[in-house]
Amino acid sequence: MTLAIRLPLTLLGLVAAGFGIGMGSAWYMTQSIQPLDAIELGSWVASPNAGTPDADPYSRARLARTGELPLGSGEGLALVARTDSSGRGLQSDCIYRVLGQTPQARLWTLSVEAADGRALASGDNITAVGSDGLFRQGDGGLNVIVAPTPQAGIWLASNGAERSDSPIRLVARLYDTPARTVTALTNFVMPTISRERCL
Amino acid sequence: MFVSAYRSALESALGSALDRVIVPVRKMPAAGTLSAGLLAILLLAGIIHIVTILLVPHYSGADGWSRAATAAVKEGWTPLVSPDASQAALPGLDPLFVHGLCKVAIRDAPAILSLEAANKFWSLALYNRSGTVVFSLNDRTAVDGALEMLVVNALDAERLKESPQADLEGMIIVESANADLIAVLHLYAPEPADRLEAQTQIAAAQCAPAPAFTEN
Repeated sequence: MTLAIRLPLTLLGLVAAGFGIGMGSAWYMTQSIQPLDAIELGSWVASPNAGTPDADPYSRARLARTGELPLGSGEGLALVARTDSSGRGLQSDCIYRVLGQTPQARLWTLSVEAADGRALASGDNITAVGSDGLFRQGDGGLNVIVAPTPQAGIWLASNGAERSDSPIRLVARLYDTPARTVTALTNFVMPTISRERCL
Repeated sequence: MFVSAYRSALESALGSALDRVIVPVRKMPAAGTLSAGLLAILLLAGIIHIVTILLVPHYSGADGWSRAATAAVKEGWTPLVSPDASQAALPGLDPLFVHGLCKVAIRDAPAILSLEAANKFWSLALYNRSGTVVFSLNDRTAVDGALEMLVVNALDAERLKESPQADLEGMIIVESANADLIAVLHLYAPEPADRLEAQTQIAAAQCAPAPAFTEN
């Protein structure tokens, strides 16, 4: 009699634990911001396999949750930075200098966004620049300042974040670029993001 | 009769409860039983984990496809002109672009997609239900920056091979095994004047069922 009660209870416990752990770990994996098959260049992270038949199931599940439609291979590639070059998270109350060479692409844009990809409510201040509207430095490199207050030079405003010290992200979108292929991506360089100071 | 049935049920229930009380403290399960239990939990957890990960894209109502399908309200191209409009429709869209969305159904007839926009960068991608890019191109790949595209299903592709249509010359033919696709168009428009122009271009762009093929 007791076995007849204990056995189903034990089985129920086993099944519940199995479901709990299985679904919990699956949820955890889809919550993680970084795709599994990502390629990292300093702070910049790209996922060239996203949206292709080669994408791994975890990246698919993650994309299904974030709701993005990744750029096609004939279009371009988006690189996302959530940290500065020394690994500290990007914040809307700090001043960052984005400096250096950009990969080969016919067109690229650089934009500052909320951590979840939402646009910042920066009023009339610009939050994105395109490569055609930029004055390059002597060596053809990029020199952009991301800050909540007006700065000399090319300034992207981060003042529209939810809180003054909200996490933000920088997105470099390269269009018509050979950077889609993994081998080219591992060779190319992206600008550094250095934190100058925080307000 | 019912009463007696009730009484016997009550007795058996009480009896089992008594059994439980009287049963002496059981010895702890053997290590073998315990590890077998843990193994069973892990195996089941693994299966559930994999099944969940594989099912999320199918049951997520907030994936890119679902959002784009909801936002594509118009016949033909639905323009997303302001960055706010783009943001509300689909996350991760470039704020310096004007975007267009269009549902493409090719089960019954081929679909024709066209765009005239020669002076600025633009690109287009076709997505299937799972959010995979079926085909993508940019203005360099297109002829003279103008898009003339025909999306066909496998059957129509076969028909095209057998009897090439004269009026399809110079068109990009895309064959897809998926009956339902969503086309997403990106037009580079960094300045307000560019946005107005891109808006006009999307309004003039075509995304519609094509007439069925004529038999030669």
